[in-house]
Amino acid sequence: MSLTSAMLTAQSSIAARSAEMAIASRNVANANNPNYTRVEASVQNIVTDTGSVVYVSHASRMVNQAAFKATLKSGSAAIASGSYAKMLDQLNPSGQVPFGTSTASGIGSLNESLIAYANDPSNQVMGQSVINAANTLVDDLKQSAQTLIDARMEADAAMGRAVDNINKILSDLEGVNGKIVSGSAAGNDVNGLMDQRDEMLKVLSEEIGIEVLEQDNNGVAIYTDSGVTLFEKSAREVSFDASLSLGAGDAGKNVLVDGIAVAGPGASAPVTGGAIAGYARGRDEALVTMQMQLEETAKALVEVFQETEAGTTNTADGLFTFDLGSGDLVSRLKVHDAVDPAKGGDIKLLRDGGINGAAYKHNTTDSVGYSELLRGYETALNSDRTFDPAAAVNTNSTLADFAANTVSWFSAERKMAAENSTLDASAFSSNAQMLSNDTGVNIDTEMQRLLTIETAYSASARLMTAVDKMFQELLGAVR
Amino acid sequence: MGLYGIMNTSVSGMNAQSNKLSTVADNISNANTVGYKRYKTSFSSLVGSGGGSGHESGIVNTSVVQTVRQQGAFNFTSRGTDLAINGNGFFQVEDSDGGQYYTRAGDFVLDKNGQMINSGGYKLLSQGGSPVAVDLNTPVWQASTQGELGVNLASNTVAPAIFDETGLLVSGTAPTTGLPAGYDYKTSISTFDQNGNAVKVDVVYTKVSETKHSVTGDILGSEWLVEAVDESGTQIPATGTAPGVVSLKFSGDGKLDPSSPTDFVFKVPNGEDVTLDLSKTVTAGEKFSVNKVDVDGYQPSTIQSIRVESDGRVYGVYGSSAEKLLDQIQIVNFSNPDGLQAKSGNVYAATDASGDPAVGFPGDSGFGSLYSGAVEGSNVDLAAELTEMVQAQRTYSANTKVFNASSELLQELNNLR
Repeated sequence: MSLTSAMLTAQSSIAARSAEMAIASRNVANANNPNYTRVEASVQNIVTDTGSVVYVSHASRMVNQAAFKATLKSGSAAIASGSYAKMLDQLNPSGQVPFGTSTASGIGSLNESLIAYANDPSNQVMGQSVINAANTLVDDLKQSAQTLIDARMEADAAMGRAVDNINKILSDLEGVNGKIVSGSAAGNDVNGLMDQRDEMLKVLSEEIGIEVLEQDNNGVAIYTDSGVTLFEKSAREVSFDASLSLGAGDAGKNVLVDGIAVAGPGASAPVTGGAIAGYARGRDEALVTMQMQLEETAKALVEVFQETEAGTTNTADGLFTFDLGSGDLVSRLKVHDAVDPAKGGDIKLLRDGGINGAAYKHNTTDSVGYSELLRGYETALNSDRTFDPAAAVNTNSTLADFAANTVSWFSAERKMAAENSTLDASAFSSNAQMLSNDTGVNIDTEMQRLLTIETAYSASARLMTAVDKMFQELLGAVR
Repeated sequence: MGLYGIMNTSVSGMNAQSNKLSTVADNISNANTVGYKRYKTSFSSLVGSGGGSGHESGIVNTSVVQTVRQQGAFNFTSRGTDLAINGNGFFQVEDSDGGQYYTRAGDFVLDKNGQMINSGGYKLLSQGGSPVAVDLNTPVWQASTQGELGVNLASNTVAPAIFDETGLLVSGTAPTTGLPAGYDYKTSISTFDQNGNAVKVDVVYTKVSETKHSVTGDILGSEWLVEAVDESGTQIPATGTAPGVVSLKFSGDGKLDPSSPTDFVFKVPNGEDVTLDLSKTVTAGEKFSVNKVDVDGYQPSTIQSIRVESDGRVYGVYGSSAEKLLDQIQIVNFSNPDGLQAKSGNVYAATDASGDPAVGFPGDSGFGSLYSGAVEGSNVDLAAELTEMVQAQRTYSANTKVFNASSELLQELNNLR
């Protein structure tokens, strides 16, 4: 113990306080940075036989891995249900009239004009209004179908963008993770890099649900929430081919991670979180069901108005028919040219029969009051039919009820999606809040810390002044 | 007894004090020199002849000793190559001519040749007496040879064959040996071949059977096949033709049965056999997940920095985030360190007085431990030096007074005539 060692101790204390101050100021500077994790100075001291010194060995990062993982998980769940709810919302832009309402009311007006025509079969104006209602319904169905295709294509494109983003993040992450691991091995300060990586993980979890596995030297391995490798020393390939068309019956393509399908029809390890899961659910489930509902409506319309050959059980398409070709039914649905005056047809063929030729004519006497066929169509329109269970509504109902059921199915699905989205979002925000409380910067605490450091610094400086004074006394003695 | 004798005595006194002053000057000027040990001056009297009625004044001898044993205070730096010994011991260093010296000055830096050189220009020696040489340019890599992989295999996975508690096949087909057509779960691991290239290997898990109690329906155990598959989907064998397959047996609670093998060996294409420890594998829940993955090996990269442990081991940290043990520093101790002979550059040479160097690793019994990121400062206490200086100054003045007095007496004698 000597004056010099007292001076050294004071000096080391000042250096340690400065380092603590630098760390505290880093905290204060990042007080409003949501991706920042608070650091605290780790102060060590070393005692030798000539004195003792203190030093700040490193800044330790106040992480809470459990809270961080919970935030990632609830964040990706919130994005998944949020993007799904948003897709359904976009089909219902006004928020008032649910998707499919116009189809249901179109079927209603077709029914009404059919009854009116049947009550007054000689009135060509009434007949024209049936054709008009039929054309409106066809146009409406086609428009609805196009809206669904657009929505599915948009979801498909969104999945493509998410995959591009994932690949970009993963390749960036490979670099940052490498730096963290080699930096940790060399004993460097990697806290900033770890904050950067955490931010990347947050963005990644918004695109796809992930599980993070800690490795040696602060490294991580990343898996999808279904256990498929996304990153382990190196980034795995995430691939997705955008679809060219997504009409009814066209299946979307799968998102492949490391060669395993994680989203899309029949995925073997489907992810539950992230935008990809939300969009895939919309693209491959809800919208497919809605396309199915339109297809069933089109099919039922054609069947309801089918003509029967007089004296046989042979049937052929009547008021509604399909264009030849392949593809979904709605896009080929049309009002039969033979009854549409706009296409040079004759409305009377609807009343009398014979759209498919003379053999199908039932009003052989050309009576102007003949309404049996029209009544028959009306009955068929209002009798129970069997629908494909894939349409997800009551399989046995009238066409009008079926259309109404699809509207309520959509409303219910949308409501549920919106509720889930709200729930998940609030779960996420409470998790994020918890994480921020745990790892974020509390200005009050930092201010208190600054005061403590300041006091300790002043005391060390006073110590140096005292030692300096003693030296001065000594030097004064030297003449 | 003579006047000349008195003059000689006071001259020797002045010499002694100027010796002391010069050590003080040395000490003060090196107050901030890393590894410097202060000089201590001590005096001894040489008694003149005579006795009885007269006194023949003697002279004073100066002996200067360097306080090599006394440790200086640590100064902390942020450089990992700065080393300090806490306790006994010296670094072995070598000058450019190959002469071997010992020092406490640990402010080493890595020079362009990969050698650790201190501010005095001396090269640090490691065990075996050769200079620490870090290869800065040649890349290093390592083929994977072992690793660990732990997964959770969903317990509700359908088994192709069900056995009852007596081992009787209840339904399905008994598993045949070899690769089953499909797999249940797949995870990929990064391995490195013998040239340090990354090779992705898929590890696939296939449930082959389940044992269920015939009455209660409780699951008593299950068996899973683990295989490695390359990127083209072909099964990778272990060395030779032995199939790279292991059959894991789980007990009813989903944990590995103690009798089950846990090591899985496969050969990395163009690489070596990798032994994967699968002991952390469980089968529980309804979701496949990976719990632990760690495979060794790394790609070629050059050294980025070095790290020295407290026991003297020098690790290279490479760009591929690999760490490799490069060398281990040995330190030496002497039976009488104060007997070492100081040389320029804060180094010492062994002498008869110091004894022969005893070599050991830092932290061994009798040897100090190594601190990385700190240097040992000089052990000079300025206050003590200043007080010594004042003492020397005063004593010198007193000696000149004695010299003056005897000179005046001689003058008197000359004036007698």
